[in-house]
Amino acid sequence: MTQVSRGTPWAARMSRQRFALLAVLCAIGALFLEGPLEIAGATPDFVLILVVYGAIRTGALGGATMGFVSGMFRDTLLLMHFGLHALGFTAIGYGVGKMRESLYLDAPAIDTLILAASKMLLDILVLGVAAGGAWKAFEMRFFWESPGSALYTTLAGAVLARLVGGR
Amino acid sequence: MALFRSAYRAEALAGVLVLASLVLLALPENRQDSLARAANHIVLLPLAGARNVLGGYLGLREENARLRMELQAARLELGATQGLRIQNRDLSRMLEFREDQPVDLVPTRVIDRDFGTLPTTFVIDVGWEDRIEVDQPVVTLDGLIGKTVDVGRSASEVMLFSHPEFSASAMLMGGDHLEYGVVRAAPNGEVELYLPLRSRSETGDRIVTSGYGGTFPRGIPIGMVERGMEDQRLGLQKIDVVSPVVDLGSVSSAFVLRKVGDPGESVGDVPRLFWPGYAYPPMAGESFGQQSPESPAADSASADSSAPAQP
Repeated sequence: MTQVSRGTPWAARMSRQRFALLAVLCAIGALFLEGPLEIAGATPDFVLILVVYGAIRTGALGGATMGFVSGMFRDTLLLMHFGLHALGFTAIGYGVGKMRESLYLDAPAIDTLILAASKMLLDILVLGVAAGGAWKAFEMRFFWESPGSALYTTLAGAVLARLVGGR
Repeated sequence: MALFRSAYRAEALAGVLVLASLVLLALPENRQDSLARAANHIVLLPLAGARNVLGGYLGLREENARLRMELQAARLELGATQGLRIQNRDLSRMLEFREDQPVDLVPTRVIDRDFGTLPTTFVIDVGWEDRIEVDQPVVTLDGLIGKTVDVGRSASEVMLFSHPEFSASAMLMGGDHLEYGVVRAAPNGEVELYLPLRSRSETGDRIVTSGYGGTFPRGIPIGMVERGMEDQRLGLQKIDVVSPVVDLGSVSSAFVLRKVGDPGESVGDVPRLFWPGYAYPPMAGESFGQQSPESPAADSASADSSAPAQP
């Protein structure tokens, strides 16, 4: 059985340079790769990966700040509901940063579980607001696209963690 | 105060940021839109420039140009390949399209598009230097793609019909009747036509711009009715899902229509751009292109282009 310790999260142990590399890769992914990597409506959310790992690394204060800045970046790309992603990512960054102080974040794969859960929560907020009351459209997108996107984001996050974080 | 500083600093910051996000979200749509566009220009245009510069530094630009020249030479040597035939046909169509038209067509190239899965905006390579203004229709050889929303010196931004804020007054050409409605994009990216609840629209009916509203002249093709569905919000309208005539994913060149009629006025010659020989868009089921321009129907219709032609 794997020994679970309440130690330092792996993302916090990353060097500053490695984390900067992760941030650059996530920004490139968000700008150029999310469209081409789409499979049946599901896309990896590179901005969310950056926010979650950033929050695990820096805690609630850094997570909320990184979430807000990243959310504004996402809102700038999408040109609609300006501030919506900033709101979602700020909440997620703060929440994950808070968890870092109270959860066993060094347990295997828990960061990927947090990624998946964060993606689902973010989609509830974003798709709910974007649907503007058309719940049929919300249901269709949430139940068909969000689980796939969450899985895809988790996979991309795990690959990035392996490549950059050396996990 | 010291306790607040140390213990609740994260909570306070998160609260302020959430509040800032909510304030942004609560702004009026046009204010949100202008803020987002300003940020978009500041963030993305330098990125697009940086991408080109980086490509140049890495020698990709030169290699690309060399390969293009080689490809061009190979194409010339190989003669009329299928690709060249298609290109030739398209260019010929564009030339014919441009000549002798009553409206002022400005040819343009798409130089950038947004990064979403379904494009909602294009950047084209004409601006106020070419006498382009805001709210001018942008079309391809097949039909409407959008309107100009932001005009710079030598580039303009086009809001496509897939944009959530796009709307156009539209006319449905049923088999034996006309109906007026509004075309908008749904949140899921589909284009929808809002009609009165008692509408008799059917699958396959043509949809063109109605000429009302002042932006789009009458007769620019938008699409065809793909299927009808009920309004899920209030049930006061009929909503038809529209199959657009233009595939936005494959648009690389377009025209800006520079001369537009006053609000309510029909620019009757615009249908001739898309349906040669017709002064009015043909009704559903009527196969255009077989009727000669000299036919009585076309002549009588052209006499009063603002009145609907009877099939």
